[in-house]
Amino acid sequence: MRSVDERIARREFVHRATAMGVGLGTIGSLLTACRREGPEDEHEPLKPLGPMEKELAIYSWSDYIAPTTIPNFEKEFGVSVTYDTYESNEEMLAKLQSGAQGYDIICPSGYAIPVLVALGLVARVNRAYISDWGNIAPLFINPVFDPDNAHTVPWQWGNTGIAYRKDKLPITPDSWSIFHDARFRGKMTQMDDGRDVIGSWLRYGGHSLNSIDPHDLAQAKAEAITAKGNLKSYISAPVKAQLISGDVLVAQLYNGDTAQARAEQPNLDYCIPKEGCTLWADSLAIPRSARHKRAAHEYMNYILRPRVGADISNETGFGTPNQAALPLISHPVPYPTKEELARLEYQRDLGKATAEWDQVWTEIKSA
Amino acid sequence: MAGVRERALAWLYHRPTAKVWSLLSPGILWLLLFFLVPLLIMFAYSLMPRGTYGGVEAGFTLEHYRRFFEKIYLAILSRTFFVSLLCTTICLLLGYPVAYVIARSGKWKSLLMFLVVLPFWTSFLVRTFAMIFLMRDTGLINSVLLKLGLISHPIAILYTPFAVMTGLVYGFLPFMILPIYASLEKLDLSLLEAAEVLGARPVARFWRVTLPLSLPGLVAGCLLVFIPALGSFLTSDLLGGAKEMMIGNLVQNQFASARNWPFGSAASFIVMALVLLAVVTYLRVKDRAADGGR
Repeated sequence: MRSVDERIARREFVHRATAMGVGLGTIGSLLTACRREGPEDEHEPLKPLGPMEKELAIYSWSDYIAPTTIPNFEKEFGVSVTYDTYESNEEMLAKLQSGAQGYDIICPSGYAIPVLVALGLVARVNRAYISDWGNIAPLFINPVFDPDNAHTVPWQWGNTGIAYRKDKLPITPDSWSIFHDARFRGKMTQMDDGRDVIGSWLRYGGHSLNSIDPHDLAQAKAEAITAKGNLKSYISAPVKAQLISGDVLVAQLYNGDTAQARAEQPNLDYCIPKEGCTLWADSLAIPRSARHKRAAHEYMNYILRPRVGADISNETGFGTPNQAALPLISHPVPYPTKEELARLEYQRDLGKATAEWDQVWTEIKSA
Repeated sequence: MAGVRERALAWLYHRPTAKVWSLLSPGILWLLLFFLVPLLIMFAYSLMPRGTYGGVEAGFTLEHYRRFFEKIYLAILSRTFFVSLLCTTICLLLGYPVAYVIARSGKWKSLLMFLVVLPFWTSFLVRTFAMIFLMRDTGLINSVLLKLGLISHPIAILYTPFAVMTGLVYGFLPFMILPIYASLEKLDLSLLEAAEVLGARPVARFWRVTLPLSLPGLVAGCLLVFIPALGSFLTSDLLGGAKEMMIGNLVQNQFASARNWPFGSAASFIVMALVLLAVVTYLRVKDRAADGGR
């Protein structure tokens, strides 16, 4: 039994060593974090790009692309593509900030873009290489998060409203107040994300979901804590499986994920609450450290083709910002009406107030 | 070339200290580079003002340490300690008999040990997701109970403190069994025979011979369960429905959505200091008890 003893000794050592560093996981990468770059000089003219490279490294969200998108791109352009994933903007941001190199395309949400620009982490897009620029819908031209589209090409867009099982609810939800309804206690979930939860209750109280006013936040916190008593859990996109099975009847969820789940459970429906909710758009951007900038630009242009854009949205269930792709959209994506669109609000970066928001979120979770 | 090698070996042969250091240095370098240096960086960060977009800014502040002693964070800390202690206790009560039986199982030993380490073949994340499918309202446990007519409505298992504790105990149990098994397996059976000959009954033999001799394994097991339990955050998110925070969740949030790296560093340091204090105190008490018994 010597080998087992040895294994135990080694395991014991390794675990003593790792356990000592509770929460040390991310620290290793901080070694390089001290290096800081300022924002890019916006007035410097864009340089022409070199010849097409043979590789392209994409860093994006999981389940957020069509199965054909990359293979077709590889075949047509003779490029070998790698696709790494992240689960939150913060994860991607922390990784780039700590000096991670080797990514050519990232897919930040709107509110993360000004941060990336301020930190000098993304390069400007050279429009000379984006011949299909004209396919972008007007809603995504000159967006609040990236004036003049200097750094991004829009990828997908959607909103974060309420998904529900119409076959099992006696009412049709139209307001965030559904989460205060004790009849559905233990059958409802909100996103495991402070921005989404606090944002929903800010809108419920008639405030902007980007408010940093302490009174607004205190009110939203109280509403959120009342709702928490009725919640089964805080869970984001993985709630789909439980909506399909009927474990959960009402969930704060993205419209696209609802559309995905509806393919398996036709009794799922979705509403944009009357108080309003988050409008978001994820865009493609090129890190300044990218080594294959030409391939990255070609990829941006490639996804603006009508067929490619439609395939992506048909797969993800989210909206396409590519208006030329709209006629090719085959499954019913719930595009908001003009009237609904007016109730949607973009998330903005909270800057220094991020700390106060986190404190509120910690208090909600500890309540 | 052979001459150089032989001379170097001869040089080392005559200098035992140099020999020891040359063997140890790769390990020491590794630890210095990947453990001590990051630890120092983290300590420095914990004393600097936070950067708006993550990272830190130049300066010095004790604010992050002060902030940790606010009521809300202390509540999270004490809750985490309680959960970890409970988890350790349950692992000990479940793990000791298992280790005992395996150590006495003769030719089955290898097979049984193999079964104990078998779960490590799959990632902890995957196994935790599998538990969700067992525990949820329409999951296996509830379906079977409903079919058998033992319950009329699904009972809430998933997203309860019970689910979190089950997940933690399940995940850490092998770390309790392995060291206890190692110390029981080495136990000299002739000592038990001597105790029997001298008239000790089975219960007395266990309490006065087996248990004290397996104490090193037991202490190692408790530490190996308690310390990682303190830092765990996945289980409470996935099985607890993220409705409550452990200190691990707090730290993780500081490096992600809150973008407050210095506060996360300070929280980690305080937890490390407390763990160190607890471990040192425990080992001291144990040594004194051992000395007293002699």
